[in-house]
Amino acid sequence: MKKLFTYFLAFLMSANFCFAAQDPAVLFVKNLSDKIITDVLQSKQEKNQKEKEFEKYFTEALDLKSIGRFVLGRYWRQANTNQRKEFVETFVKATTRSWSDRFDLYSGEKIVFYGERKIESSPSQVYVDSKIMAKDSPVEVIWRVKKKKEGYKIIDIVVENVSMALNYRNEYSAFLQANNGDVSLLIENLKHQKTKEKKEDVSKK
Amino acid sequence: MKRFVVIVGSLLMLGACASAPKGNDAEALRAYRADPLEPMNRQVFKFNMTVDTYVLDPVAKGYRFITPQIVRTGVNNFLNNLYEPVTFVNNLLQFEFEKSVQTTGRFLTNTFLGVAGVFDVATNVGVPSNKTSFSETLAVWGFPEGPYLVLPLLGPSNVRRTMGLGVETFTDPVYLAAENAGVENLVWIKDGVRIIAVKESSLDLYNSMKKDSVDFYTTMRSTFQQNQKKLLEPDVQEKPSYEFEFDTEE
Repeated sequence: MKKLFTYFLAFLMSANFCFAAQDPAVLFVKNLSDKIITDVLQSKQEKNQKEKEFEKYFTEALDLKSIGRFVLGRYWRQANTNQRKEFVETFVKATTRSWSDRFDLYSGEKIVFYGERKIESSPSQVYVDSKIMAKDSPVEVIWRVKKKKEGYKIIDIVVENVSMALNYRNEYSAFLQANNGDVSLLIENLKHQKTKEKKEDVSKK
Repeated sequence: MKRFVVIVGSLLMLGACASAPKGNDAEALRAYRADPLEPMNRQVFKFNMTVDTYVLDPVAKGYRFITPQIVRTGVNNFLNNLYEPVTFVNNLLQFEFEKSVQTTGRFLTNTFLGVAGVFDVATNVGVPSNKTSFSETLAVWGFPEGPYLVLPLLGPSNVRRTMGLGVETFTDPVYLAAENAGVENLVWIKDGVRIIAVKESSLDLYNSMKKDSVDFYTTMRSTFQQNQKKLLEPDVQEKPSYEFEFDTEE
């Protein structure tokens, strides 16, 4: 009886796995992460080349306008067209640079996908649940994906319950609050992050 | 207990509250609600950053330089094993009886077969860690997190977590045993080693976040506060904290 139950459970799990693998949003995120692992993280190219490759995937896969609008909050509306364009470009560069510093931390961890979940308040968006199987303990990663005319786009990545989009929004909003909403100053700071040492004081009046 | 008094005492000495923003600035109001003690917290944060730059960071880098990974893993395993009795009590307090049995199994296995906990035999044979703390117990019991607090040396916290740390400080079996044996200073050494070991293991990610942030204080706060929301049971929260309106947010 116990054996029969085990077979039944295994069947259910495999059925569930097939279903999860066929969810279109899951496929989109899985393909993207596979490409990043092979072409960037495991690639033997120079760091600069890896960074370019990553930036290409990053720009293609993310809905940068939505993210830009969200992370700047009300300051997005106050910014002019040029500032918005420059902010998005700088944001991509800064984020790519930040991720590229962490490329070396990758040591072959696998990503397991568990399927997608609907978001009640936003019918065009879904969450894709996954876990990075790190050596010490798995890290829960949730991808917030939006279906657009041109296909799926990522709008947020949630790591251990921490939304990256919300983190950026809080950080930029604190900076802009302390600097009279000067979006150009924020862009300048993002461009020159590498040379700043005492960033904890930057937002202080 | 003395350690807890030192921490809370130094916080009270720095006591200062932000005044609530006037007018209709929604962004400022949101920031105030998230961190009503911001002026005091920023002062402690500044102190922590100085200690980090001149003491913790170089010591952690030195520790990394002189020890191979295998030794550092052994130290982490040893410290984690010393914490298993605390996890056991909190598994019970959270009514996670199955986990408490697992925790006991882990502690006995790692203490006796893992050479006083230096080797994590239990994880290797498929008994995962159920590490939890008294502050997580308070969260499970529905205790509110309270205002965000930055603790001297210990960093991001809140009232709930600080209370949890306080209770753990004077119920920690290592502390009780050391007190009975009249070697209380041993606990300071254990805490010191733990701080350096934790710092070393988060060195790369922490420094990368610090370098890339335009306001590191807010990045740390936002990360900590969101991560804390994970502790709440799904039935306590209406929806996950990472679920917010993306397109219609102001």
